[in-house]
Amino acid sequence: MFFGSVLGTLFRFELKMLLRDKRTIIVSIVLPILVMPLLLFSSSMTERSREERQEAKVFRYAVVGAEAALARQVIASYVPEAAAEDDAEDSDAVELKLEEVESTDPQAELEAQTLHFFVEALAPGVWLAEQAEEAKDEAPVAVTERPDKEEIPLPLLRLVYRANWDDSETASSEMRYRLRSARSDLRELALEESGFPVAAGDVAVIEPNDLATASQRTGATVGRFATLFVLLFLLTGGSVVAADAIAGEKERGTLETVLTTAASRRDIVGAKLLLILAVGIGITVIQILNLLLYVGLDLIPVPDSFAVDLSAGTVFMLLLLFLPLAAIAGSVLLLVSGYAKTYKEFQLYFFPVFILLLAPALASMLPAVELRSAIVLVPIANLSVAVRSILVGQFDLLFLAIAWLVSMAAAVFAGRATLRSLSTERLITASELDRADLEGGAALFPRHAWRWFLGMWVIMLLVATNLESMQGLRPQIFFNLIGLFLGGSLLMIWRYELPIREVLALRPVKPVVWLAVILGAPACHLAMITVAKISAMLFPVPERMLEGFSNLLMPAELPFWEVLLLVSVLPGICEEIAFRGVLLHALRQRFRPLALCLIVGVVFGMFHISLIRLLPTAVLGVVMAALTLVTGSIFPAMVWHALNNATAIASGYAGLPLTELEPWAYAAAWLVFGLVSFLLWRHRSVYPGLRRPAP
Amino acid sequence: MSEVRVRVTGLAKSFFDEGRGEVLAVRGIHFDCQEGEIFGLLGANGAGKTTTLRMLSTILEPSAGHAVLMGHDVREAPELVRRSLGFYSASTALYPRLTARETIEFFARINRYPRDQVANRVETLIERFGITEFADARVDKLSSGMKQKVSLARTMAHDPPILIFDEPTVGLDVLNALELQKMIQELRAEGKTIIFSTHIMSEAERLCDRIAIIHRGEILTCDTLDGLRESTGCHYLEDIFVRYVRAGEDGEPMVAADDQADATEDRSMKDQ
Repeated sequence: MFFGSVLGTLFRFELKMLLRDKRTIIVSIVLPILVMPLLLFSSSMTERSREERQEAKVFRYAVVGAEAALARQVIASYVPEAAAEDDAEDSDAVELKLEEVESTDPQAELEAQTLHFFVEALAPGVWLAEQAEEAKDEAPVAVTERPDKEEIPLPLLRLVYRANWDDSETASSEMRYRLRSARSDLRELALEESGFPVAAGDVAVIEPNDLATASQRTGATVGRFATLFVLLFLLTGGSVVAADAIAGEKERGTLETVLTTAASRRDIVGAKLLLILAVGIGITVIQILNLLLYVGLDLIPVPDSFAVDLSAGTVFMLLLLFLPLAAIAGSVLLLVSGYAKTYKEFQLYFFPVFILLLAPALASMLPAVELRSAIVLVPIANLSVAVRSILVGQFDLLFLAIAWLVSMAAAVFAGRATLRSLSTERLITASELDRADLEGGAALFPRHAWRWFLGMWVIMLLVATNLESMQGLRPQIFFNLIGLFLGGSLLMIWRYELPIREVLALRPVKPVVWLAVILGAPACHLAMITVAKISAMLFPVPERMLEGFSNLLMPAELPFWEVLLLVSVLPGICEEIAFRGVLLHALRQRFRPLALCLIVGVVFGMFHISLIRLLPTAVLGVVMAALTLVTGSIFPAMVWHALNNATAIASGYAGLPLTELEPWAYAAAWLVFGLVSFLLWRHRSVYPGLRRPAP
Repeated sequence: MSEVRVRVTGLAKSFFDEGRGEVLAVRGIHFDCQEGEIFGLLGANGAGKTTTLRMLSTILEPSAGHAVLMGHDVREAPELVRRSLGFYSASTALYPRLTARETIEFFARINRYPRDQVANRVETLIERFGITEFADARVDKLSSGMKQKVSLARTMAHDPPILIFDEPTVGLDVLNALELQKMIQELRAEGKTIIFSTHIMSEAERLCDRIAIIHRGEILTCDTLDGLRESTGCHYLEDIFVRYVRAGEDGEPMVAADDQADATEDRSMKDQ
């Protein structure tokens, strides 16, 4: 029945064509299957040969120093059998052969690699003196005088080795292990001789008692990686088919052929998605079976405590959760294919998309992340945490369902975007004459704006994280605001010969707008605090996230007027020029007004680097962008922005925390904000040249 | 009078270009095509021919106006429209990894040709287009002449009443082009409605029953070759074409007046 329908026919023929494409089959299916055993085999081979070589090898060391004779005694007191009993886990570790040699200049020999390491035996007094010397340099903490212990004839042993030479590292750590074991034996012996009443080993015994079952423990480990691995297989498996699915068809000219048939776009996209899913899921299943096979063949070492005890219900739930994962992977790949005009373009887009999709799957590796938090709203990330919670055996069905729905909705969204891409002229047909490239200058700028802002972001990130001297408020503000935002904006205007008055929207506004701005800025500031509070009630966020809404960096040592200048006036001017001036202008015809505001806001938020400030600044950015669009001028946004920051500064100086006001204050703020929005809309004079809604 | 199969009224397409903003590719055109007619769209590159034909085949959605094929509006019932048309252009390629026979079968099926008759239809077309010898060879192994035949066969796979040929002879050698023209004439004889776009004057002269001269997204005139000769006093289509295009650019009213009259007539017919 299915194969008779249009969808089925499309799928059947697509599959047929895929199976005839030997290159794809080899690259996407055969190779990955072969690569894994090859990799495992070669790694186990090298491991084995390394062990064999180490067993055969004799490691040379020297013992020097004033107490060398005593040191030799300690080394000799090491009993291999006893140590092995102590440490059952390491019982199969290789016993290395260490041999002492005479050396006059061990340091030089170590450098020349004729000696693997050496032991320097110091008299305790010498060591204490050294310690005191070091402590003097470091900190003015008084070194406590040790009681005179000279009657104890134990030397202090210093192991000298080179960590950048494998053999040296291996041999010295073996020696360290032996010395530790010998030391603990000696200590027990000494205690016993001095008449200690109980066996030293019985003092303050700690017995860990883990209530988790072996299966749950394994789940906690496996759960961290499960989603990441499954997604990895899905993406690598699906990508080859996806590249061909739309981008390849465009390149060959077959897409137009199929678009003029009676098959609906829904069927076409559906069949392609099914094909990607079939291949992606097929390869994932094969890879997992492959993996299990090698675990079974002992080619992959598995710890003894590893226990997998999954009930049918658990397996079913896992499969159910991997369903939206596969759907997202498939539909995003198809979307990329829909947006790429050629194979090559697909490959260009694939890598960043690959990273972007894998990154949220790492959420399950963060130890404290629970599904019952904002993470449940992040597609993929929510699945990875959900999978872990199931494997660990502690889950909440409601939140599992939310996670499933959110991720499925993301998949549907990507699928619909793919459908739309098949109706977009620019994307369906090979690009014809491109005017912008010919004209250059201002026409080219909308396309280049992203690059410029990305460049600015990277510079800012590098400077903020790397330069110590930039940590202060003053240099940071000057660098970011004056250098980067203002300088960058002017550079773009100069480079593309942009009309400055239009780009920066330097237009006068009606007087009533100023009234709205003066009332609106503080009201909006308070209103946004309530948004943060409500979202914090639903999804527990760190306390600092809330503070991010109202507290700005406020160094106490600067005078009030200077803080006002640095944190209120300058950002108002420079940030607005860069974001509501240049960026907004560049993107104004690419997106419709609503999307434009959101994008400008989010980009603005991203420029505040820290995660805690991202949300509040993005919200402010959206409001500023909307204000600019409604008034058609940048000036109201400049003043609003400056007033917004000034509100926060003033509340800080006045010692009035804005996050802890009475409810009526927030309600009033909302009312004022609403009135101001209405007023601005009533007296709007819309930003010119915006993209009109689709017909 | 024979049946009107395609009716285009006030059809327009504007799209968005980053550098230029709104671009009007087609500016409200009107025409209609009948059963057993070859209707030619003659225009220079970039005149709006392909955009018009893409709107008729529902690849693009019109920004304004209507196009009704076999009683179905392109906007309201795009799938029904596509079922009743075959679209052929130099840029519509074939799947290289299917055989000729599979190609025809595939297109018959996804165009919803009655399932139990697909096998018969495939054999008929293979015979008719002289594909028999290489019917089971993969398309990527075929010569361009063979591919052209398979392409035509797949356009005809579901026996549509309307056929659209968008600059079909671009890139073909003389013999293949002639062969294609012969085939198009045969199809007309079978009563198909054929919409044919070209920028080659001789092709339009030889094939088309009626010719619409399209320039900068507007149809400057639409008549039979004889009618065009009469109204311009020129014999060769090339001269006629240049005459209209020049007049159109200078904004002379003579041509536009005729067109306007046609347009109002079309509309009033639709209203009835």
